[in-house]
Amino acid sequence: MTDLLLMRATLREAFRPRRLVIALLLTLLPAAIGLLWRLLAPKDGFNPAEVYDSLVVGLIFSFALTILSVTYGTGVVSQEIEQRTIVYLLTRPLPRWRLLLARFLVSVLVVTAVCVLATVLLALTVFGPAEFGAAEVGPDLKALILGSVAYGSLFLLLGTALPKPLTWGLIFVFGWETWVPKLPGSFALLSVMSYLRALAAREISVNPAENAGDNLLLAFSRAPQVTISPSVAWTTLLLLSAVCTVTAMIVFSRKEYVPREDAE
Amino acid sequence: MVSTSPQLPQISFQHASRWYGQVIGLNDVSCEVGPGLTALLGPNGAGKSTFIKMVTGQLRPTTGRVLVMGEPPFANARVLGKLGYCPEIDSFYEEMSGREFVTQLATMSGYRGRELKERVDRSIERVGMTDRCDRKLGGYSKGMRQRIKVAQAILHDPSVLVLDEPLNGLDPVGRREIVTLMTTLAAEGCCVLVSSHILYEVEQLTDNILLMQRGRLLARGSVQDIRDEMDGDTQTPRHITLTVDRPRRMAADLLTLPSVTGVRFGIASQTHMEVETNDPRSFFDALPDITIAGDYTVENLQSPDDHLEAMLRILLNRK
Repeated sequence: MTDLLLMRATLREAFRPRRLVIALLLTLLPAAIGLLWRLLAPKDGFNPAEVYDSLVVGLIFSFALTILSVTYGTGVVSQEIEQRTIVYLLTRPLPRWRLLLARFLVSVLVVTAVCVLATVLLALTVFGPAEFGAAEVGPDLKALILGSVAYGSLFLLLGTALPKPLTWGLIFVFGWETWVPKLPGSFALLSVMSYLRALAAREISVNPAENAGDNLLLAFSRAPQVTISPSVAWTTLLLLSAVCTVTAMIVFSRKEYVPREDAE
Repeated sequence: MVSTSPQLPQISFQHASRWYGQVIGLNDVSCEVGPGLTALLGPNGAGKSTFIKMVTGQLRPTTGRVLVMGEPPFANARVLGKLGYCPEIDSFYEEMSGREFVTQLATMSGYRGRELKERVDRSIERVGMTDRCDRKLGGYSKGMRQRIKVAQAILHDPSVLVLDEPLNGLDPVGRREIVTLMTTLAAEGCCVLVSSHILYEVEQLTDNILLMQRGRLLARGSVQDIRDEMDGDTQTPRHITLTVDRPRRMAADLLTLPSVTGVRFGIASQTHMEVETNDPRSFFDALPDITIAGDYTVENLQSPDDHLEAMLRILLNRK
Protein backbone atom coordinates (compact mmCIF):
# COMPACT_ATOMS: atom_id res chain seq x y z
CA MET A 1 0.00 0.00 0.00
CA THR A 2 2.81 2.38 0.95
CA ASP A 3 4.44 1.61 -2.39
CA LEU A 4 1.27 2.50 -4.28
CA LEU A 5 0.96 5.76 -2.39
CA LEU A 6 4.61 6.43 -3.05
CA MET A 7 4.10 5.74 -6.75
CA ARG A 8 1.12 8.05 -6.81
CA ALA A 9 3.16 10.83 -5.20
CA THR A 10 6.01 10.21 -7.66
CA LEU A 11 3.56 10.26 -10.55
CA ARG A 12 2.22 13.60 -9.44
CA GLU A 13 5.79 14.84 -9.30
CA ALA A 14 6.40 13.50 -12.82
CA PHE A 15 3.55 15.61 -14.12
CA ARG A 16 4.63 18.91 -12.73
CA PRO A 17 4.06 21.66 -15.34
CA ARG A 18 7.52 21.74 -16.95
CA ARG A 19 7.74 17.98 -17.33
CA LEU A 20 4.16 17.78 -18.52
CA VAL A 21 4.87 20.25 -21.32
CA ILE A 22 7.84 18.18 -22.53
CA ALA A 23 5.84 14.95 -22.34
CA LEU A 24 2.93 16.51 -24.26
CA LEU A 25 5.30 17.92 -26.86
CA LEU A 26 6.92 14.56 -27.47
CA THR A 27 3.50 12.91 -27.58
CA LEU A 28 2.05 15.28 -30.14
CA LEU A 29 5.11 16.12 -32.25
CA PRO A 30 5.18 12.97 -34.47
CA ALA A 31 1.45 13.21 -35.13
CA ALA A 32 1.72 16.92 -35.91
CA ILE A 33 4.54 16.31 -38.40
CA GLY A 34 2.62 13.39 -39.91
CA LEU A 35 -0.43 15.58 -40.32
CA LEU A 36 1.56 18.36 -41.94
CA TRP A 37 3.23 15.84 -44.25
CA ARG A 38 -0.14 14.49 -45.22
CA LEU A 39 -1.59 17.93 -45.85
CA LEU A 40 1.38 19.33 -47.76
CA ALA A 41 2.42 16.30 -49.83
CA PRO A 42 0.89 15.81 -53.30
CA LYS A 43 -1.91 13.24 -53.20
CA ASP A 44 -0.23 10.68 -55.41
CA GLY A 45 3.13 11.16 -53.68
CA PHE A 46 1.94 10.41 -50.13
CA ASN A 47 2.64 6.88 -48.96
CA PRO A 48 1.19 6.49 -45.43
CA ALA A 49 3.22 3.38 -44.60
CA GLU A 50 6.49 5.03 -45.61
CA VAL A 51 5.72 8.23 -43.68
CA TYR A 52 4.65 6.25 -40.63
CA ASP A 53 7.79 4.10 -40.76
CA SER A 54 10.05 7.12 -41.05
CA LEU A 55 8.42 9.01 -38.20
CA VAL A 56 7.97 6.09 -35.82
CA VAL A 57 11.62 5.20 -36.21
CA GLY A 58 13.09 8.68 -36.40
CA LEU A 59 10.99 10.47 -33.82
CA ILE A 60 9.59 7.84 -31.52
CA PHE A 61 12.07 4.94 -31.27
CA SER A 62 15.21 6.92 -31.83
CA PHE A 63 14.24 10.17 -30.11
CA ALA A 64 11.25 10.13 -27.75
CA LEU A 65 11.99 6.68 -26.32
CA THR A 66 15.70 7.22 -25.81
CA ILE A 67 15.58 10.83 -24.66
CA LEU A 68 12.72 10.24 -22.25
CA SER A 69 14.34 7.06 -20.94
CA VAL A 70 17.60 8.87 -20.31
CA THR A 71 15.87 11.78 -18.62
CA TYR A 72 13.45 9.85 -16.47
CA GLY A 73 15.68 6.82 -15.87
CA THR A 74 18.70 8.73 -14.62
CA GLY A 75 16.42 11.28 -12.94
CA VAL A 76 15.00 8.70 -10.55
CA VAL A 77 18.06 9.27 -8.35
CA SER A 78 20.15 12.03 -9.90
CA GLN A 79 17.38 14.60 -9.89
CA GLU A 80 16.96 14.14 -6.15
CA ILE A 81 20.71 14.48 -5.68
CA GLU A 82 20.93 17.59 -7.83
CA GLN A 83 18.08 19.37 -6.10
CA ARG A 84 19.47 18.08 -2.78
CA THR A 85 16.14 16.59 -1.72
CA ILE A 86 17.46 13.03 -1.55
CA VAL A 87 18.08 13.50 2.17
CA TYR A 88 14.31 13.47 2.78
CA LEU A 89 13.97 10.16 0.96
CA LEU A 90 16.95 8.41 2.51
CA THR A 91 15.97 9.25 6.07
CA ARG A 92 12.52 7.69 5.80
CA PRO A 93 11.81 4.24 7.27
CA LEU A 94 11.44 2.62 3.90
CA PRO A 95 13.88 0.07 2.47
CA ARG A 96 15.85 1.89 -0.18
CA TRP A 97 15.25 -0.75 -2.82
CA ARG A 98 11.48 -0.30 -2.49
CA LEU A 99 11.82 3.43 -2.82
CA LEU A 100 13.91 3.02 -5.95
CA LEU A 101 11.64 0.40 -7.48
CA ALA A 102 8.51 2.48 -6.96
CA ARG A 103 10.08 5.53 -8.55
CA PHE A 104 11.53 3.45 -11.40
CA LEU A 105 8.14 1.92 -12.22
CA VAL A 106 6.62 5.38 -12.41
CA SER A 107 9.37 6.56 -14.76
CA VAL A 108 8.80 3.54 -17.02
CA LEU A 109 5.07 4.14 -16.93
CA VAL A 110 5.47 7.75 -18.04
CA VAL A 111 7.92 6.92 -20.85
CA THR A 112 5.74 4.05 -22.05
CA ALA A 113 2.59 6.16 -21.96
CA VAL A 114 4.17 8.96 -23.98
CA CYS A 115 5.67 6.62 -26.59
CA VAL A 116 2.55 4.48 -26.97
CA LEU A 117 0.28 7.49 -27.20
CA ALA A 118 2.59 9.18 -29.68
CA THR A 119 2.64 6.04 -31.87
CA VAL A 120 -1.14 5.64 -31.86
CA LEU A 121 -1.70 9.32 -32.63
CA LEU A 122 0.87 9.16 -35.42
CA ALA A 123 -0.83 6.13 -36.98
CA LEU A 124 -4.22 7.83 -36.71
CA THR A 125 -3.08 11.01 -38.38
CA VAL A 126 -1.02 9.36 -41.13
CA PHE A 127 -3.36 6.51 -42.04
CA GLY A 128 -6.60 8.12 -40.91
CA PRO A 129 -9.07 6.45 -38.54
CA ALA A 130 -10.50 4.28 -41.30
CA GLU A 131 -7.16 2.80 -42.31
CA PHE A 132 -5.70 2.62 -38.80
CA GLY A 133 -5.47 -1.19 -38.96
CA ALA A 134 -3.10 -0.96 -41.91
CA ALA A 135 -0.51 0.69 -39.72
CA GLU A 136 0.12 -2.56 -37.83
CA VAL A 137 1.21 -0.74 -34.71
CA GLY A 138 1.11 -3.86 -32.48
CA PRO A 139 4.77 -4.91 -32.85
CA ASP A 140 5.86 -1.29 -32.48
CA LEU A 141 3.92 -0.90 -29.24
CA LYS A 142 5.35 -4.13 -27.82
CA ALA A 143 8.86 -3.03 -28.75
CA LEU A 144 8.29 0.42 -27.24
CA ILE A 145 7.03 -1.01 -23.95
CA LEU A 146 9.96 -3.38 -23.66
CA GLY A 147 12.30 -0.65 -24.88
CA SER A 148 11.18 1.74 -22.14
CA VAL A 149 11.77 -0.97 -19.53
CA ALA A 150 15.18 -1.94 -20.92
CA TYR A 151 16.47 1.59 -21.48
CA GLY A 152 14.88 2.74 -18.23
CA SER A 153 16.61 0.06 -16.16
CA LEU A 154 19.93 0.71 -17.86
CA PHE A 155 19.72 4.43 -17.16
CA LEU A 156 18.46 3.74 -13.65
CA LEU A 157 21.66 1.82 -13.01
CA LEU A 158 23.72 4.68 -14.45
CA GLY A 159 21.83 7.09 -12.17
CA THR A 160 22.50 5.08 -9.04
CA ALA A 161 26.09 4.16 -9.76
CA LEU A 162 27.74 7.06 -11.60
CA PRO A 163 28.17 10.77 -11.15
CA LYS A 164 26.75 12.84 -14.03
CA PRO A 165 24.58 9.98 -15.31
CA LEU A 166 22.67 12.18 -17.76
CA THR A 167 25.88 12.93 -19.64
CA TRP A 168 26.83 9.25 -19.72
CA GLY A 169 23.29 8.38 -20.82
CA LEU A 170 23.36 10.84 -23.70
CA ILE A 171 26.78 9.57 -24.75
CA PHE A 172 25.34 6.05 -24.73
CA VAL A 173 22.29 7.01 -26.78
CA PHE A 174 23.99 9.20 -29.33
CA GLY A 175 27.36 7.42 -29.34
CA TRP A 176 27.08 3.77 -28.51
CA GLU A 177 23.61 3.17 -29.90
CA THR A 178 24.48 4.99 -33.11
CA TRP A 179 27.84 3.47 -33.90
CA VAL A 180 28.05 0.05 -32.32
CA PRO A 181 25.37 -1.56 -34.53
CA LYS A 182 27.34 -0.42 -37.58
CA LEU A 183 30.55 -2.08 -36.56
CA PRO A 184 31.44 -5.28 -38.37
CA GLY A 185 30.84 -8.71 -36.93
CA SER A 186 28.41 -9.26 -34.09
CA PHE A 187 28.71 -5.84 -32.46
CA ALA A 188 25.03 -5.21 -33.14
CA LEU A 189 24.31 -7.67 -30.36
CA LEU A 190 25.63 -5.08 -27.92
CA SER A 191 23.03 -2.50 -28.86
CA VAL A 192 19.58 -2.33 -27.27
CA MET A 193 18.19 -0.73 -30.40
CA SER A 194 19.14 -3.79 -32.47
CA TYR A 195 16.87 -5.95 -30.33
CA LEU A 196 14.04 -3.42 -30.47
CA ARG A 197 14.38 -3.36 -34.21
CA ALA A 198 14.09 -7.14 -34.28
CA LEU A 199 10.98 -6.98 -32.10
CA ALA A 200 9.31 -4.33 -34.19
CA ALA A 201 10.24 -6.33 -37.34
CA ARG A 202 10.76 -3.01 -39.00
CA GLU A 203 12.83 -2.43 -42.12
CA ILE A 204 13.17 0.90 -43.79
CA SER A 205 14.54 0.90 -47.27
CA VAL A 206 17.59 3.05 -47.35
CA ASN A 207 19.41 3.77 -50.53
CA PRO A 208 23.08 3.25 -49.64
CA ALA A 209 24.05 5.65 -52.39
CA GLU A 210 22.29 8.47 -50.60
CA ASN A 211 24.10 7.73 -47.33
CA ALA A 212 22.26 10.61 -45.70
CA GLY A 213 24.55 10.89 -42.71
CA ASP A 214 25.20 8.28 -40.06
CA ASN A 215 22.39 9.21 -37.77
CA LEU A 216 20.38 7.24 -35.29
CA LEU A 217 17.60 6.76 -37.78
CA LEU A 218 19.97 4.83 -40.02
CA ALA A 219 21.39 2.93 -37.08
CA PHE A 220 17.92 1.66 -36.41
CA SER A 221 16.90 1.13 -39.99
CA ARG A 222 20.01 -0.44 -41.42
CA ALA A 223 20.04 -4.20 -41.45
CA PRO A 224 22.43 -5.46 -38.79
CA GLN A 225 25.26 -7.79 -39.52
CA VAL A 226 23.57 -10.50 -37.49
CA THR A 227 20.04 -11.77 -37.40
CA ILE A 228 18.19 -11.50 -34.09
CA SER A 229 15.04 -13.54 -33.63
CA PRO A 230 12.13 -12.01 -31.64
CA SER A 231 12.48 -14.65 -28.94
CA VAL A 232 16.18 -13.85 -28.50
CA ALA A 233 15.29 -10.16 -28.43
CA TRP A 234 12.62 -10.67 -25.75
CA THR A 235 14.89 -12.84 -23.62
CA THR A 236 17.90 -10.55 -23.93
CA LEU A 237 16.01 -7.35 -23.16
CA LEU A 238 14.13 -8.85 -20.23
CA LEU A 239 17.37 -10.26 -18.85
CA LEU A 240 19.12 -6.93 -19.30
CA SER A 241 16.25 -5.14 -17.56
CA ALA A 242 16.23 -7.56 -14.63
CA VAL A 243 20.00 -7.46 -14.15
CA CYS A 244 20.17 -3.68 -14.38
CA THR A 245 17.20 -3.13 -12.06
CA VAL A 246 18.40 -5.56 -9.40
CA THR A 247 21.95 -4.20 -9.58
CA ALA A 248 20.61 -0.65 -9.28
CA MET A 249 18.59 -1.65 -6.21
CA ILE A 250 21.66 -3.21 -4.59
CA VAL A 251 23.83 -0.20 -5.39
CA PHE A 252 21.18 2.22 -4.11
CA SER A 253 20.83 0.25 -0.89
CA ARG A 254 24.55 0.35 -0.17
CA LYS A 255 25.85 3.59 -1.61
CA GLU A 256 26.16 6.87 0.26
CA TYR A 257 24.48 9.77 -1.50
CA VAL A 258 25.81 12.73 0.42
CA PRO A 259 27.64 15.42 -1.53
CA ARG A 260 31.09 15.77 -0.05
CA GLU A 261 30.72 19.51 0.58
CA ASP A 262 27.60 18.72 2.63
CA ALA A 263 29.30 16.05 4.61
CA GLU A 264 32.27 18.11 5.68
CA MET B 1 15.33 -4.97 17.57
CA VAL B 2 15.26 -1.23 18.10
CA SER B 3 15.37 -0.32 21.74
CA THR B 4 14.00 2.91 23.09
CA SER B 5 14.84 2.19 26.71
CA PRO B 6 15.80 5.38 28.49
CA GLN B 7 18.58 3.49 30.28
CA LEU B 8 20.45 2.92 27.03
CA PRO B 9 22.23 5.70 25.22
CA GLN B 10 20.16 6.56 22.18
CA ILE B 11 23.24 7.48 20.18
CA SER B 12 26.59 5.78 20.60
CA PHE B 13 29.86 6.50 18.78
CA GLN B 14 32.59 3.94 19.38
CA HIS B 15 35.95 5.10 18.03
CA ALA B 16 34.19 6.22 14.89
CA SER B 17 36.27 7.79 12.14
CA ARG B 18 35.27 8.90 8.71
CA TRP B 19 37.57 9.65 5.82
CA TYR B 20 36.77 11.41 2.54
CA GLY B 21 39.66 10.19 0.45
CA GLN B 22 42.70 11.82 2.06
CA VAL B 23 40.62 14.18 4.19
CA ILE B 24 39.41 13.15 7.60
CA GLY B 25 35.93 14.27 8.52
CA LEU B 26 35.63 12.59 11.88
CA ASN B 27 38.59 11.39 13.89
CA ASP B 28 38.21 8.61 16.47
CA VAL B 29 35.09 9.93 18.14
CA SER B 30 33.64 8.06 21.09
CA CYS B 31 30.62 9.37 22.95
CA GLU B 32 27.12 8.54 24.03
CA VAL B 33 24.03 10.68 23.90
CA GLY B 34 21.00 9.85 25.96
CA PRO B 35 17.51 11.28 26.32
CA GLY B 36 17.24 15.03 26.74
CA LEU B 37 18.58 17.93 24.78
CA THR B 38 22.19 17.84 23.66
CA ALA B 39 23.89 20.50 21.58
CA LEU B 40 26.55 19.75 19.01
CA LEU B 41 28.88 22.70 18.76
CA GLY B 42 31.85 23.61 16.68
CA PRO B 43 33.10 25.92 13.97
CA ASN B 44 32.62 25.24 10.26
CA GLY B 45 34.52 22.16 9.15
CA ALA B 46 34.61 20.78 12.70
CA GLY B 47 32.84 17.58 11.65
CA LYS B 48 29.35 18.39 12.93
CA SER B 49 27.69 17.55 9.61
CA THR B 50 29.60 14.31 9.32
CA PHE B 51 28.58 13.43 12.86
CA ILE B 52 24.92 14.16 12.11
CA LYS B 53 24.92 12.33 8.79
CA MET B 54 26.31 9.27 10.52
CA VAL B 55 23.62 9.44 13.19
CA THR B 56 20.90 9.80 10.56
CA GLY B 57 22.17 6.87 8.51
CA GLN B 58 23.38 8.77 5.50
CA LEU B 59 27.05 7.99 6.03
CA ARG B 60 28.85 4.99 7.46
CA PRO B 61 31.94 5.24 9.63
CA THR B 62 35.17 4.26 7.86
CA THR B 63 36.33 2.67 11.11
CA GLY B 64 34.64 2.20 14.46
CA ARG B 65 30.94 1.95 15.07
CA VAL B 66 27.95 4.22 15.24
CA LEU B 67 24.79 2.91 16.87
CA VAL B 68 21.41 4.54 17.19
CA MET B 69 19.03 2.79 19.56
CA GLY B 70 21.44 -0.14 19.53
CA GLU B 71 21.67 -0.60 15.77
CA PRO B 72 23.78 0.79 12.93
CA PRO B 73 21.57 3.46 11.38
CA PHE B 74 22.83 3.35 7.78
CA ALA B 75 19.87 2.56 5.50
CA ASN B 76 18.23 0.89 8.48
CA ALA B 77 14.45 1.28 8.20
CA ARG B 78 13.90 0.16 11.82
CA VAL B 79 16.14 2.91 13.16
CA LEU B 80 14.82 5.51 10.72
CA GLY B 81 11.28 4.74 11.86
CA LYS B 82 12.22 6.09 15.29
CA LEU B 83 14.46 8.91 14.11
CA GLY B 84 13.44 12.37 12.98
CA TYR B 85 15.80 14.57 11.03
CA CYS B 86 15.60 18.25 10.19
CA PRO B 87 18.44 18.89 7.72
CA GLU B 88 20.27 22.17 7.40
CA ILE B 89 19.86 22.29 3.61
CA ASP B 90 17.22 24.62 2.29
CA SER B 91 16.10 22.37 -0.57
CA PHE B 92 12.50 21.39 -1.20
CA TYR B 93 10.08 20.26 -3.85
CA GLU B 94 9.26 23.86 -4.55
CA GLU B 95 6.00 23.22 -6.43
CA MET B 96 4.47 21.40 -3.47
CA SER B 97 2.61 23.08 -0.65
CA GLY B 98 3.89 22.65 2.88
CA ARG B 99 1.05 20.25 3.61
CA GLU B 100 1.75 18.17 0.47
CA PHE B 101 5.43 17.97 1.42
CA VAL B 102 4.76 16.77 4.95
CA THR B 103 2.04 14.43 3.70
CA GLN B 104 4.35 12.83 1.14
CA LEU B 105 7.01 12.20 3.74
CA ALA B 106 4.40 10.89 6.18
CA THR B 107 3.24 8.51 3.45
CA MET B 108 6.78 7.28 3.08
CA SER B 109 6.84 6.72 6.82
CA GLY B 110 3.98 4.27 6.36
CA TYR B 111 1.00 6.34 7.51
CA ARG B 112 -2.26 6.48 5.61
CA GLY B 113 -5.90 7.32 5.98
CA ARG B 114 -7.06 9.13 9.08
CA GLU B 115 -3.80 8.63 10.97
CA LEU B 116 -1.87 10.21 8.11
CA LYS B 117 -4.07 13.29 8.15
CA GLU B 118 -4.03 13.58 11.93
CA ARG B 119 -0.27 13.29 12.14
CA VAL B 120 0.28 15.82 9.35
CA ASP B 121 -2.16 18.28 10.92
CA ARG B 122 -0.66 17.87 14.37
CA SER B 123 2.95 18.28 13.28
CA ILE B 124 2.10 21.34 11.20
CA GLU B 125 0.21 22.80 14.13
CA ARG B 126 3.11 22.17 16.50
CA VAL B 127 5.40 24.31 14.35
CA GLY B 128 2.79 27.05 13.99
CA MET B 129 2.17 26.64 10.26
CA THR B 130 -1.50 25.65 10.17
CA ASP B 131 -2.64 28.86 8.51
CA ARG B 132 0.12 28.88 5.88
CA CYS B 133 0.67 25.22 5.07
CA ASP B 134 -1.38 25.22 1.85
CA ARG B 135 0.85 27.76 0.13
CA LYS B 136 3.58 26.60 -2.27
CA LEU B 137 6.93 25.93 -0.64
CA GLY B 138 8.60 28.06 -3.31
CA GLY B 139 6.91 31.14 -1.83
CA TYR B 140 7.87 30.43 1.78
CA SER B 141 10.17 32.63 3.81
CA LYS B 142 13.29 31.09 5.30
CA GLY B 143 11.60 30.84 8.67
CA MET B 144 8.52 29.11 7.23
CA ARG B 145 10.70 26.63 5.40
CA GLN B 146 12.55 25.94 8.60
CA ARG B 147 9.30 25.26 10.43
CA ILE B 148 8.08 22.86 7.75
CA LYS B 149 11.38 20.98 7.92
CA VAL B 150 10.86 20.59 11.65
CA ALA B 151 7.26 19.46 11.05
CA GLN B 152 8.33 16.60 8.79
CA ALA B 153 10.95 15.59 11.37
CA ILE B 154 8.50 15.25 14.27
CA LEU B 155 5.45 13.81 12.51
CA HIS B 156 6.17 10.24 13.58
CA ASP B 157 6.94 11.02 17.24
CA PRO B 158 10.60 10.03 16.99
CA SER B 159 12.64 8.76 19.93
CA VAL B 160 15.70 10.47 18.49
CA LEU B 161 15.33 13.89 16.90
CA VAL B 162 18.29 15.39 15.07
CA LEU B 163 18.07 19.04 14.13
CA ASP B 164 20.81 20.66 12.07
CA GLU B 165 20.86 24.40 12.74
CA PRO B 166 17.09 24.47 13.33
CA LEU B 167 16.93 28.09 14.44
CA ASN B 168 18.50 29.52 11.29
CA GLY B 169 16.29 32.12 9.69
CA LEU B 170 13.63 32.08 12.37
CA ASP B 171 12.25 35.31 13.81
CA PRO B 172 12.26 35.71 17.61
CA VAL B 173 8.73 34.32 17.94
CA GLY B 174 9.60 31.35 15.74
CA ARG B 175 12.76 30.73 17.71
CA ARG B 176 10.87 30.72 20.96
CA GLU B 177 8.27 28.32 19.56
CA ILE B 178 10.83 25.90 18.17
CA VAL B 179 12.96 26.08 21.32
CA THR B 180 9.85 25.36 23.39
CA LEU B 181 9.04 22.44 21.12
CA MET B 182 12.57 21.04 21.43
CA THR B 183 12.66 21.38 25.20
CA THR B 184 9.18 19.85 25.49
CA LEU B 185 10.18 16.85 23.40
CA ALA B 186 13.38 16.49 25.43
CA ALA B 187 11.40 16.66 28.66
CA GLU B 188 9.13 13.91 27.32
CA GLY B 189 12.16 11.63 27.02
CA CYS B 190 13.09 12.19 23.40
CA CYS B 191 16.80 12.34 22.60
CA VAL B 192 17.13 15.72 20.90
CA LEU B 193 20.45 16.48 19.24
CA VAL B 194 20.78 20.06 18.03
CA SER B 195 23.63 21.34 15.93
CA SER B 196 24.33 25.02 16.13
CA HIS B 197 27.11 27.50 15.75
CA ILE B 198 25.26 30.27 17.57
CA LEU B 199 26.65 29.81 21.02
CA TYR B 200 24.40 32.06 23.02
CA GLU B 201 21.41 30.17 21.69
CA VAL B 202 22.87 26.87 22.80
CA GLU B 203 23.78 28.25 26.17
CA GLN B 204 20.15 29.18 26.73
CA LEU B 205 18.91 25.89 25.30
CA THR B 206 20.92 23.30 27.19
CA ASP B 207 24.06 22.90 29.23
CA ASN B 208 24.72 19.49 27.78
CA ILE B 209 27.08 19.85 24.87
CA LEU B 210 29.40 18.02 22.51
CA LEU B 211 32.14 20.30 21.30
CA MET B 212 33.89 19.43 18.05
CA GLN B 213 36.96 20.77 16.34
CA ARG B 214 38.82 19.43 13.29
CA GLY B 215 36.89 16.18 13.34
CA ARG B 216 37.62 15.47 16.96
CA LEU B 217 35.40 15.58 19.99
CA LEU B 218 37.06 18.32 21.96
CA ALA B 219 34.88 18.22 25.05
CA ARG B 220 31.61 16.70 26.15
CA GLY B 221 29.21 16.79 29.04
CA SER B 222 27.53 19.68 30.75
CA VAL B 223 28.89 23.18 30.68
CA GLN B 224 29.84 22.57 34.34
CA ASP B 225 31.76 19.38 33.43
CA ILE B 226 33.73 21.23 30.82
CA ARG B 227 34.41 24.08 33.19
CA ASP B 228 35.67 21.60 35.77
CA GLU B 229 37.92 20.03 33.19
CA MET B 230 39.28 23.44 32.31
CA ASP B 231 39.78 24.25 36.00
CA GLY B 232 42.04 21.24 36.26
CA ASP B 233 44.12 22.52 33.40
CA THR B 234 47.01 24.57 34.80
CA GLN B 235 48.48 25.40 31.40
CA THR B 236 45.72 27.69 30.18
CA PRO B 237 45.30 31.01 32.06
CA ARG B 238 41.78 31.90 33.22
CA HIS B 239 40.41 35.33 34.03
CA ILE B 240 38.30 36.40 36.99
CA THR B 241 36.98 39.91 37.42
CA LEU B 242 36.30 41.48 40.80
CA THR B 243 34.77 44.75 41.85
CA VAL B 244 36.31 45.54 45.21
CA ASP B 245 36.67 48.62 47.42
CA ARG B 246 40.54 48.55 47.51
CA PRO B 247 41.63 46.73 44.39
CA ARG B 248 45.35 47.51 44.51
CA ARG B 249 45.69 46.40 48.09
CA MET B 250 43.81 43.22 47.43
CA ALA B 251 45.83 42.60 44.28
CA ALA B 252 49.01 42.68 46.36
CA ASP B 253 47.54 40.00 48.62
CA LEU B 254 46.33 37.90 45.70
CA LEU B 255 49.73 38.03 44.01
CA THR B 256 51.18 36.15 46.96
CA LEU B 257 49.15 33.13 45.82
CA PRO B 258 51.11 30.76 43.54
CA SER B 259 48.01 30.29 41.40
CA VAL B 260 47.75 34.00 40.47
CA THR B 261 49.91 34.95 37.50
CA GLY B 262 48.82 38.55 36.95
CA VAL B 263 46.41 41.37 37.75
CA ARG B 264 45.04 44.25 35.66
CA PHE B 265 43.24 47.33 36.96
CA GLY B 266 40.70 49.89 35.82
CA ILE B 267 39.29 48.09 32.82
CA ALA B 268 35.66 48.92 33.63
CA SER B 269 36.06 51.23 36.62
CA GLN B 270 38.56 52.25 39.30
CA THR B 271 37.27 49.53 41.61
CA HIS B 272 37.46 46.84 38.98
CA MET B 273 40.32 44.41 38.53
CA GLU B 274 40.95 41.33 36.48
CA VAL B 275 42.93 38.46 37.95
CA GLU B 276 44.70 35.92 35.78
CA THR B 277 45.15 32.48 37.29
CA ASN B 278 46.46 29.18 36.06
CA ASP B 279 44.66 27.23 38.82
CA PRO B 280 41.11 28.52 39.38
CA ARG B 281 40.30 25.91 42.01
CA SER B 282 43.17 26.96 44.27
CA PHE B 283 42.35 30.59 43.63
CA PHE B 284 38.71 30.22 44.64
CA ASP B 285 39.72 28.15 47.69
CA ALA B 286 42.03 30.91 48.88
CA LEU B 287 39.86 33.90 47.97
CA PRO B 288 37.51 33.84 51.02
CA ASP B 289 40.44 33.77 53.47
CA ILE B 290 42.15 36.69 51.74
CA THR B 291 38.90 38.65 51.65
CA ILE B 292 38.25 38.13 55.34
CA ALA B 293 41.85 38.74 56.38
CA GLY B 294 42.03 42.02 54.46
CA ASP B 295 38.45 43.04 55.30
CA TYR B 296 37.74 43.73 51.65
CA THR B 297 34.27 44.44 50.32
CA VAL B 298 33.79 42.43 47.15
CA GLU B 299 30.80 43.86 45.31
CA ASN B 300 30.97 41.69 42.30
CA LEU B 301 32.79 38.54 41.25
CA GLN B 302 32.60 37.15 37.75
CA SER B 303 34.40 34.61 35.68
CA PRO B 304 33.75 35.62 32.05
CA ASP B 305 35.63 32.53 30.96
CA ASP B 306 32.75 30.48 32.36
CA HIS B 307 30.54 31.66 29.54
CA LEU B 308 30.24 29.09 26.81
CA GLU B 309 31.72 31.28 24.12
CA ALA B 310 34.78 32.02 26.21
CA MET B 311 35.10 28.37 27.15
CA LEU B 312 34.98 27.42 23.51
CA ARG B 313 37.61 30.00 22.66
CA ILE B 314 39.88 28.68 25.38
CA LEU B 315 39.34 25.05 24.45
CA LEU B 316 39.82 25.64 20.75
CA ASN B 317 43.02 27.60 21.37
CA ARG B 318 44.29 25.00 23.81
CA LYS B 319 43.84 22.08 21.43
